[in-house]
Amino acid sequence: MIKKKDKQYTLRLCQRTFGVFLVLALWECNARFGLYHLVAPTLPLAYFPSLNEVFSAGLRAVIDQTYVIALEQTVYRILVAFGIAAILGVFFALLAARSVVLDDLIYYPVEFFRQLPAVAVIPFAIMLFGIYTSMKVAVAVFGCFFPVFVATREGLKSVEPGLVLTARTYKWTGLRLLFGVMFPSAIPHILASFRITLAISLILVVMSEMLVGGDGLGVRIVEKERAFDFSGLYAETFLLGIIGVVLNLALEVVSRRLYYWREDEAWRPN
Amino acid sequence: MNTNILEIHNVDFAYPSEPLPFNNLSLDDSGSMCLGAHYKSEPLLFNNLSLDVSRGGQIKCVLGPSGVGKSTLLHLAMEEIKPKEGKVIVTGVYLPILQNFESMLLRWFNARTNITWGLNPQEYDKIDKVSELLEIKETLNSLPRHLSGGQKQRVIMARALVRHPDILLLDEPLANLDSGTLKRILPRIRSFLHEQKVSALWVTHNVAEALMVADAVCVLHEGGILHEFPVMSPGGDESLAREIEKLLL
Repeated sequence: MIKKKDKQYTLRLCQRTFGVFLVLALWECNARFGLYHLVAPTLPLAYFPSLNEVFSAGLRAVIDQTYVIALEQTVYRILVAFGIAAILGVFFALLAARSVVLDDLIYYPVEFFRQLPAVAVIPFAIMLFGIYTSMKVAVAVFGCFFPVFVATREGLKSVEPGLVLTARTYKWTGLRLLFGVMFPSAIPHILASFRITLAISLILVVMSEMLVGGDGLGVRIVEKERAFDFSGLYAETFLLGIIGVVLNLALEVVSRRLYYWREDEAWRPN
Repeated sequence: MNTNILEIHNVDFAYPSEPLPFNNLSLDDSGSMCLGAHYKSEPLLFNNLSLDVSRGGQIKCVLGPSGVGKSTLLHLAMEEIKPKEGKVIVTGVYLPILQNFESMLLRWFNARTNITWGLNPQEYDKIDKVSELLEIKETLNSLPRHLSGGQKQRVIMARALVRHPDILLLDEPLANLDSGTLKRILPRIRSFLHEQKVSALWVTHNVAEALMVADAVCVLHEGGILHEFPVMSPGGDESLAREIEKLLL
C-alpha cells in the first residue's frame, strides 16, 4: 500500500515534470506556428528553432571533442574559483571572529568592495592577470568571496546564547571554541552561501569568457550567435543550465555529509 | 574561609523598562505636541531578597509559581544580570543548566563527546560512573537529535557532574524525565553531589522532586519573599509537602 506521504511526493513530482513539459510544448508551438508574432512580429522565424533542431544540436555538441574540452575548461574554472572563494571567505570570517580589532579592520573594506559589481573589475583583472584562465578565475573569486564571507561572519555571530553561555562557563576557549562551537554553528549559513556562490561562479566565469574570449563554453556560445547557428546557441545555453544543476546537486550531496546533524524533517523534499 | 559558595544579599531587581510603542508623543505644559520616550516602570521582581548556599555539597531547591523569578534568580547567580541594589557573591566555579537545555548541546557531536569536550583526558574514567548513575550509558554514541528530551537533559547533567564544579545552578534540569526514572536517579544524584561536595541551587516546579533531592527547600513568592524549609530526610514528610503545596497555591 502506498503511504500518504509517498503519494503526495509523487503528485508533486508529476506537477513539476508537467511544468517542464508545458514549457517544451509552448516552445514547439512557437517554433511551428510563430506564436512570437503576437509580441514581436518583425523577428525572423529562424530565431526560434524547433525542439528537434535544438536537441540535435545539443547531441552534436556533447559528442564533439571541442565541446568536451571547452566544458572541461569552464567547469575547471568554476570549481577553482568557487574553492578559492570558499576557503578565503571562511578563513577571513574566522579571522574576524577571533577579535574585535580584526573584525573592524576587515569589515569596512569588505563592505565597500562587495558593493562593486564583479564585472566592473574585469579591466583590472585583465591588467593584473592577462586574458587567460587566471583572470577568469580571479573575477569569479572576487564575486564569490563576499557572499561566503558575509554568511560565515553572520553564522559565527548567530551562535545560540545558551551555547555561548555554556562555552563561557565551561571555559572553552581558543581553537576548542572556534572549531567545537562557533564553526559548526555557522555551517548551515556557510552551506547556504556555497549554493549561491556556485551559481555566481558559473555566471562570472561564462561572462568573462564571453567578454574576453579565449576558450570555454562562454566563447562557444558567442561564436554560435555570430555564426547565426541559433539551434546550437540555444542547445549550448541549455547545456550550461544543466551543468549548473549537476554542480548544485553535487554540492547538495556534499552539504548533507557536512551538515549531518540536521533535523531530517528540514531536508525532506517538499 | 567563607562557608557559603553562593550569597545573595538584600537584592533588589527589576527588568529594565522598555519604551512603550506608539506612545512617545505627548502634550507639554503649553499644550503643544512634543516627542519624548515614555517608559513603563517595571515593578521590582525582587525586593530585599537574600539567599545563600553552603559550600561542600548543600543542595537548595527553589520552588515557586511561574513568573515569580526563579530563573531570574539563577541568572543573577550566574552574573548574567546585575541587581539594582544588594550583592551577589559566588566564591567558586559554577556550571549552569538552563531551562532551554537544547541550546546547550553541541548538536554536531555525539553524547560522549558532548560530555568530554574540553575535559581533561585524565578525568575520562568518571564518565562511566556518571553515565551509569544517570542511566545514559546506551546513548553515549548517539547524536543529540536521536535523543529524547529527558536523555538530552541527562547528558547535560553528566557533562556538569564529571567536572566537579563548586556549585551547580540548575533550572529545571530534569523537567523532561518520566516520574519512574526521576524516582530512581534523584537519590543517586543527591548522594553523588554530597559525596563529591558539589553544592547546587536547583530550581523546579515539582515539589516531590525538590523533597527527594534537596537539603533545604525555598519557596519564592511575588516580590522575592522566601520561605525556607530544611529537609531532614530524602523525600521529606507528608506534612512538609502539604505545607509547601499550600504556600504554592
